[in-house]
Amino acid sequence: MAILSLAWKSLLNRRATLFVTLCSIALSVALLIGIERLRIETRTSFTQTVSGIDLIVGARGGSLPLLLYSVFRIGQPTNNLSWESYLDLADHPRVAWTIPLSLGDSHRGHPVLGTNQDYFTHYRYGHGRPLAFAAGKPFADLYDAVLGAEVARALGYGLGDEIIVAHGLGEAVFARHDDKPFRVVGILARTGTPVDQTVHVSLEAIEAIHIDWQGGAPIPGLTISAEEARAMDLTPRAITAVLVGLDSRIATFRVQRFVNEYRQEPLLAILPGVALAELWTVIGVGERALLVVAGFVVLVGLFGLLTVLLTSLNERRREMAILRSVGARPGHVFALIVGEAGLVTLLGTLLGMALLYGLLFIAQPLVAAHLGLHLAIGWPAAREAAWLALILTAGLATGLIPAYRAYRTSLADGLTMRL
Amino acid sequence: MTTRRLLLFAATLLMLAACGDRDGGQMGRGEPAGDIDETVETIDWDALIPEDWRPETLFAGYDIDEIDDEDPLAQTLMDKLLALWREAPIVPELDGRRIRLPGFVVPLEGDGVRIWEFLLVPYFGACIHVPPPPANQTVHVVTEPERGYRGALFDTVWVAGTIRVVTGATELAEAGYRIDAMRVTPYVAPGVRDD
Amino acid sequence: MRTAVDTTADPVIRLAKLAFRWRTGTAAVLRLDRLEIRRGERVFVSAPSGGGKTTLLGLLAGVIAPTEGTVEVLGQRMERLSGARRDRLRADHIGYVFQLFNLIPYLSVIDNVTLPGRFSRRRRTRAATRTGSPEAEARRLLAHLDLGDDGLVRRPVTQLSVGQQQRVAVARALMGSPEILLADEPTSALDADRREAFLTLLFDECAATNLTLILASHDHTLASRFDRAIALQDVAPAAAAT
Repeated sequence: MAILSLAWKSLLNRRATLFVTLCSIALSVALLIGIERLRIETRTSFTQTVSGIDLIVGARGGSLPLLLYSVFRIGQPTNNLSWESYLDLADHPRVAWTIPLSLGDSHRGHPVLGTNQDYFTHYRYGHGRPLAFAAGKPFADLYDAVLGAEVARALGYGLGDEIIVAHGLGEAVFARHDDKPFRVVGILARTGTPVDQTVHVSLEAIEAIHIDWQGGAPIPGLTISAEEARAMDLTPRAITAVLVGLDSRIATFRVQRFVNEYRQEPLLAILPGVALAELWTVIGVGERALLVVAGFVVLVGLFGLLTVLLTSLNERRREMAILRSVGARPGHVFALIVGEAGLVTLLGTLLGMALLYGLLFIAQPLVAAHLGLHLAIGWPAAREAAWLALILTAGLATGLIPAYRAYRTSLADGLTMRL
Repeated sequence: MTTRRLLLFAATLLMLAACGDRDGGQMGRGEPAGDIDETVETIDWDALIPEDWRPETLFAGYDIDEIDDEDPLAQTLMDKLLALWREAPIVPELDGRRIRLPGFVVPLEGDGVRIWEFLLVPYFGACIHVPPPPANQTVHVVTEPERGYRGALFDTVWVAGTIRVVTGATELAEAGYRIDAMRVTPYVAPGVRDD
Repeated sequence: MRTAVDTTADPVIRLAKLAFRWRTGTAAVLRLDRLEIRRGERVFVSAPSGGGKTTLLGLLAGVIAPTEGTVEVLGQRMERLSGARRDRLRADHIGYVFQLFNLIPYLSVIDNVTLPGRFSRRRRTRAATRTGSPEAEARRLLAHLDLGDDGLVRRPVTQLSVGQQQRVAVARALMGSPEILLADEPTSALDADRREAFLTLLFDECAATNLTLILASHDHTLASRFDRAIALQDVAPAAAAT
């Protein structure tokens, strides 16, 4: 204890020099733990988004793209599946419920999702929680829209407001379905998932706004008014994907097989858990690379500490002689230097964590706004604690080298005052 | 293409059937690990299939190599096989037994670190390269999130817990197995104990 | 760490047939055939530069061990003790004053004076029994050495004058009443007036606790104030090459 308080005072005395070292350790710790945190948080928020869905069905293609565009609104579908195939699937004896999804339109940068009432009944997030309404109710009329929490917040919409849906995705869109405005009838409670980012309308509404767009662009002279559209057949011709719930999870493979071997149309059914696991495998490589880089950054920080401690040793020989004269053993000198290294690392780690939490508080709303994912800010997880312990150990180990040198010199110098 | 698949199918079935006849089939028998208490019995996948369900009898009298892709017989056999597959009867006596079973993990629910709900299947790549296992060779494993398995897709594990025979909600639904897992541990091959 | 230290031993220090060389095969830097120092004695050790003063003090302080002969301090044969036990003996029983830069720059004046207490329970306890706490003892000692001014005590040690620093060093050496005080050229950085005042204060303190003082210096003008003066070249035979 006596030695630690000496180490502390010695550090305070050299705070100007050590501050830089401290900062580099703090930054590297923030980087390393930040990457670890984001890694886990990403996984958590992704897995929070798909809950209780047994299969996701879409057009034949890659399983990861299907997962990403259907649930996370990342990337774009290459193909649709026909309404008839959807009805077939929904009729399968083992299928308990389905949620049809139709994507491709947007409202001021927010994706517009065509679906049906089952979405509000069966969609689950956060390991089994159903969607709740912060205000209003599900859509009933053709031109009703239900907003995700973040859409309503970001654009300042309330119940009864009118919104225009644009064709295609992205913020700057020049082709608007402005002849058929929607009315906001419901706003969902925040979920921390991409649902918050989404504008929900009925499948028929998606059909209605595209009814005069048969050629890929509005046909001149042929405009169908919102009211005229109501009278027409608005049965969807195709949808983007289907979320499927089964009556028993044991039937998963059987229904998956039914879909994958569906003869009328090439389809793909994926298990969200498996697709996510594949996703972790894919991004795991990148994560590991990032962690390795961050680990090296920590090492560089510790090398900085090593340099500072080593270069200070020569000018501290006098100090060591004084300590020896008042009865310090060479072991005390050793402990003093290791203690200094440990204290700097500890302070750097604490500072780094403070920095990280500061950044997380800043990033949380931004991530929610742009990705619709919720970053939970909690205490360090066991793995992070293990990282921190490892860094502290490495810091102490860094101290061993200069400490050993100081030990040797103080043995050799004894009470010789080298000036 | 059909023949190729039929062959795979048949091979899988035979593999399953063979499991019970020999010691040390693919994920067959493992030595009980020392820390599992006495009441837990280690079983193999064959124990989940009734004695009288013999898929290999279907092929008696046919030389599968001789059947051409275009041969209508291939489709007939395939359909028969699928029907048999779909049947997948279970062993009701297993219900409530405390057992331990090895297999591959096909994740259903988890948080990216732990997996607390998954399908346990007896052979690897169950959903990509070979036809998926029938319902009586697919075990729905449920555990408490805190006890979830820390691992990845297709990891091999030992699942210890109480096995339940689950009958479907509807008439058409086939029955299957669920294990309320007490413990999910990485698979250690018999004889390769790391204690 | 039980050392049978005899704090009442007299003579306090006894050297016999002593030789010290840094490395075997090199010339001895110090030879002393016989030296005994009695309790409360004030001994002046003179030697030319490089004449083995610091080596002698190092041997007495137990930082180095003799190559030949015996060094007995407070009844303990230093050459027979381990390094750790010699460190313990020094921590408990010996105060040391350097020529210059005696103070640890990052510690306050009080912290510098109480420093021996960090390494020796004995000195901590003795300081506490005397004035209540090591800090109070430090203030008492500083006051005795004309450093009672509160503003001075609060100043960073690097801002003290050389004379003040040397007196703080003496206060530290006297902390917890050790039996022996070793001083290596403590006055060489002081001007004549300061030197006299410094010695007076030092002698007063030594007398008060019957402390044995061994002061090494090349300045012979000081010798007259001591009980005894030893010139190292007198007792040490000319350092013969071996």
